[in-house]
Amino acid sequence: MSTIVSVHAFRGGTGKSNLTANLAGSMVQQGRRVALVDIDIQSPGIHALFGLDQGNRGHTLNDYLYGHCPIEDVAHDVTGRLRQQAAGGTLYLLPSSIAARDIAKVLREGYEVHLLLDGFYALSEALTLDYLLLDTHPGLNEETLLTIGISDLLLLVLRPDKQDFQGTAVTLEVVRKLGMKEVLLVVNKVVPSPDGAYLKQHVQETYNTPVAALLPLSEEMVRMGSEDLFTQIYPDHPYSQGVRDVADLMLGLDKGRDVGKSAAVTT
Amino acid sequence: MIVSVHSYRGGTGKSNLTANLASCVVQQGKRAAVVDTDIQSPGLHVHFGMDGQTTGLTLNDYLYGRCRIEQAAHDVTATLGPAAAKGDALYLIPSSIKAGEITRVLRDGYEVSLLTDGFRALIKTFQLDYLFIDSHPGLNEETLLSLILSDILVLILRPDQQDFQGTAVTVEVARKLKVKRLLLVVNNVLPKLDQASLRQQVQTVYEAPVAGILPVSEEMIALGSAGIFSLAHPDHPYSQGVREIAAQVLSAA
Repeated sequence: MSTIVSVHAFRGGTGKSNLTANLAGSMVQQGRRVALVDIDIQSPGIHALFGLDQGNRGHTLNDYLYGHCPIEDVAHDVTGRLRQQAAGGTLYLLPSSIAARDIAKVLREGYEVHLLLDGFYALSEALTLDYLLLDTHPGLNEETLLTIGISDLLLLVLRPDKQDFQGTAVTLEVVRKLGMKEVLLVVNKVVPSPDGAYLKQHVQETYNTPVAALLPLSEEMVRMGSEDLFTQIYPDHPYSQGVRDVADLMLGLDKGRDVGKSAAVTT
Repeated sequence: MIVSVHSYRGGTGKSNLTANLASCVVQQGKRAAVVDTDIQSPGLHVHFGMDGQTTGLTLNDYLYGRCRIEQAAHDVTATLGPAAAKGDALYLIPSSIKAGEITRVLRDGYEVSLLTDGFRALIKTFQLDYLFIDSHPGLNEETLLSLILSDILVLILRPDQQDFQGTAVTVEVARKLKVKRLLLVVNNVLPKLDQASLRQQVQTVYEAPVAGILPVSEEMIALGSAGIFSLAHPDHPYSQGVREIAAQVLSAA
């Protein structure tokens, strides 16, 4: 069974999709099999980072949700977008549809939310995935609560901004009620300053939740405008180093979980 | 007149622009209200110095019949400081930041038609010239409703592939809903970028006027959504840009 990781933020624009895509890339470069699912059905965007648009996207999550294809057919192998590849490492992307009529159909008719869950399990089996990364729509909504509920780990992204500080508190309150234990915070778009260590400590204490990384605000990222994976173009940039730190932490947590599981079996 | 401020993706600076535009319009002697319909992830109230504890009555109280919408309107004219002229008024109708209130909306839903009734009541009671709606990003029911009701749709995008694709979707939906007037705003633009060619490019792609191009600004990031930028930095290019957009909103009347 693969590890399911939800990447979420209360407000939009925290850099959630960019982080999710880059994180997936880093894990694949360490030889993992990873699928990235865009469950931001109201405003999909992550496909742009992999050079997909309406013309060349093929099947989407919407096709699966309305019974037009099995979920495996939605998985696009995008491993070729990585500049360096590791043996065995494979990256799949499952995009949501950007066609206005498809988004409108979801609004008009809704869809069976349990199909998402069934799809995740079918996918991880069919593609023998190590990780399933879910890029969510910002704010609290039904898909988000459901997917967080079945995730092994939640990555919550925030900026050093008052709106995000308030919203993250709300999200954590709800998440804890759902019984979610493993939560990591990532503070993004931090203006580099010597007070970084203080900010990290302050956020950890405020939310009583570990901060996996502080990622810097970067003009290069703005200039790139979601046309590619930042970590592939600027591997030595502090942002890329931070992403690798988060990836390492996630891979480490998973080892811990496996040890826990086998210990439980032997006793 | 109802003005919706919307964007396809989050983080385009929508709430920030809404707060600044409304302030600007009020400084020109108009009466305005800003309504936060981003019920899933409210944030607009932060610009007016409110937090979860001091919010008082909210849009959620109105939607669940606990108060009239006028009671959820907070007079925030004082936020404008000495810039406010006599007779001006700025009201804020915040959404609740309490976890219980947000999850109730998810669980129970609410009558979307109450929003329409509420907007009309606000305009009448407070004799508003302008009602600004700060929406949740993406396409959802509240957004479609606010597009239908709006006289002007201000659609914000960043120079970013995700936004370029998504804005096309929103423009298509707005045209189907026969939105009367569409104004585009490009935000978070690096100063080095050629503004004239960006404006031309965006106007050609979406066949709609660009009302303003706003720069990415470290001062804004440092402010971290506390306060209203154009009041704190009136001479900054961002503030100048907001005034240009406000002028176009005012001239559309």
